[in-house]
Amino acid sequence: MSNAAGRRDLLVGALAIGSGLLIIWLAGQIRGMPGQPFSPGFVPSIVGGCAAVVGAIMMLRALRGHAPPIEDEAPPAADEPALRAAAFWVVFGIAAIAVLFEAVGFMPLLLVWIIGFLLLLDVRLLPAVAFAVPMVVAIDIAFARLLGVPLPPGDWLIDLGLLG
Amino acid sequence: MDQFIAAAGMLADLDLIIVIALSCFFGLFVGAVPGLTATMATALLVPFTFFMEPLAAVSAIVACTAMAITAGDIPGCLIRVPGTPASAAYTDETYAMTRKGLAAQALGSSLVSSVIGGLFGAVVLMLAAPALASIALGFSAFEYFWLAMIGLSCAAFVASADPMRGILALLIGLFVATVGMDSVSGAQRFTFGSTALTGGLSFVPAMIGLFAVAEILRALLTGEARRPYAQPQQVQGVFHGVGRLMAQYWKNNLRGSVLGTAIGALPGAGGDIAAWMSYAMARKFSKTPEKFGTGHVEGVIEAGASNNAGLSGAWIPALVFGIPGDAVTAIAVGVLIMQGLNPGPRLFTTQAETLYAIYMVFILANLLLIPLGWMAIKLARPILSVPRPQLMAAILLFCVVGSFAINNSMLDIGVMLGFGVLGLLLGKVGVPVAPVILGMVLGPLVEQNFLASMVIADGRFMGFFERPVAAGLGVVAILVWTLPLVFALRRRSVFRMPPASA
Repeated sequence: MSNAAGRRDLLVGALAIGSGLLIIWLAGQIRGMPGQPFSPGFVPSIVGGCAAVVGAIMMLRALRGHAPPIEDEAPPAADEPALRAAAFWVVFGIAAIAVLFEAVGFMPLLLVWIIGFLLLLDVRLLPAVAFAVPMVVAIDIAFARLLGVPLPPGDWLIDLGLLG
Repeated sequence: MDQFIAAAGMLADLDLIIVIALSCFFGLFVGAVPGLTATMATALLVPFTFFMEPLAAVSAIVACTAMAITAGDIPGCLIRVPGTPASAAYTDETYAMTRKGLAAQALGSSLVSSVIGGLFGAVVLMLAAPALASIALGFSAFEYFWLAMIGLSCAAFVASADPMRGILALLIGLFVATVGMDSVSGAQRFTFGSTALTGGLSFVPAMIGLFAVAEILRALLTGEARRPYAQPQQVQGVFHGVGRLMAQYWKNNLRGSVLGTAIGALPGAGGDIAAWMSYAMARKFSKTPEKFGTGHVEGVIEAGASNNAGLSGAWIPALVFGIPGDAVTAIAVGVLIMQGLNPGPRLFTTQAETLYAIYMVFILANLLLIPLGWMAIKLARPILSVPRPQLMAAILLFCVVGSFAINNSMLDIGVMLGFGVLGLLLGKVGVPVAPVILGMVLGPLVEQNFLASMVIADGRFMGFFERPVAAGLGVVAILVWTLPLVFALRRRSVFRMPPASA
């Protein structure tokens, strides 16, 4: 094992074996119905077993130096803190939206998220706001008004009596 | 005939026409922007299709993907960055034509050959799908199980040069498909006591995460997000002399259309692979193979016809057996199931008018390619002037709201994020993401038919081979699994052979 693809295969193989064994164990805990010939955990156990076998093959070939190269390998990571920050902003922003969507509301949350994202990518404040506000309003019109999706307005706005 | 008339009547609906038109524009835009694929366009479109009638939902996907695949040729030709992977096979050729001052000829030829290929594929779909469906009506759980296994195996082997990584991706999808309530016993599987997970992990947010969020994260982390697109030259006279070229290279058009449809119909293959194979085939059979790579139109015509024909071909197994031909049709199968139109041979008897209308949409979308494709070529400069930060911001907004809109659930936003990060990590270690979606879509079909077959066969493996068609399909599946191994062993033995002494 000498190349980057081999090291990655070793890691992925180990993860596949671990996950496969975990799936088999968890599937074994699922109780079936009396008289049912195959337990509900039967198919997941097969999937877990296959994952473990595939992982073992990947590890073995990596150890023997036979890991095939990775096609379309992504270029090396950019050495730009602002871009890394933008990636983190995306990930943690989505996580925050999932948690705070109802309490804070769709419009304020998405506006802050998107303006922050644009600022991290060197878009100046005014153009960022000028882009984000009409976009969020357009999404509100498309999804909430036209398609009837109940996008949460925000509990705090309701508490303040600003929304019904 | 009555069904055709009824289907035409279904198409004469203003709402449907508006949906098709908007999907066409959306597909053209996404296809023409490098880095945004036809699959991503479909993924972003799905939350909207959820609120449409079944025919409108499928029409939107068909129109959007046909436009995106064709529009992908534009940046490939003008700035040497393919808009979609399906255009990558002949990007260098079209760019070489642009450098020779033949951009209009390159774009005009690829556009018209795409239309010809797409129409050919649509006609084959119209003729082959009902014929296959009548055969498939006699299929039992055994045949469906083997068909699904062939589809999954092809997807795993074709998606990546390394079958192991493809299989691993497939297993991830199959595992995700088992999360939630077991449809047979009602038992909870891998829900860890969460009622929100009882219905399983929704495939739409997963798909948006894998194809859109992961791509944005990748663009940010590799610095691609900062690079503006090069400004292309203005193209004039797109269709000038194209008729003569089509007549001169009619064999290339025909061969590309036939091969594209056939490869597209293979589960797991699709238009990208069809284009690569057709380009190679054009070179092999060309009288002037030395001209390839120097700005020669022959390969562009053959591969251009092939990738759009592959698009229609991929719908044959999707509609007849419920087994998708590629990632786009995997999404389409998921949409059909969500709309209550379970793909399969019975669809051809219960929803014949809808299916005829879908065929007509294929033809309409391909014909619309000529005016809209021309327009997209004309608008290449403004499309490629869209600043990337704003484009990514808009996609992110659609991702979040689109994922939420499917079930009005915060969990789905979390699922999208989880799959986005998973897609990024899988890309880093060379594991393809398309088989994950195929596994998620086909997982329930495989499990149900496998368990039903096991019960009928009383647990005997040979029981899976007792029906003639099932036996044939079983042999094909086993060949699909074993042939790559045989080839790998043969390659290794050839490398180890000592050189012959002179």
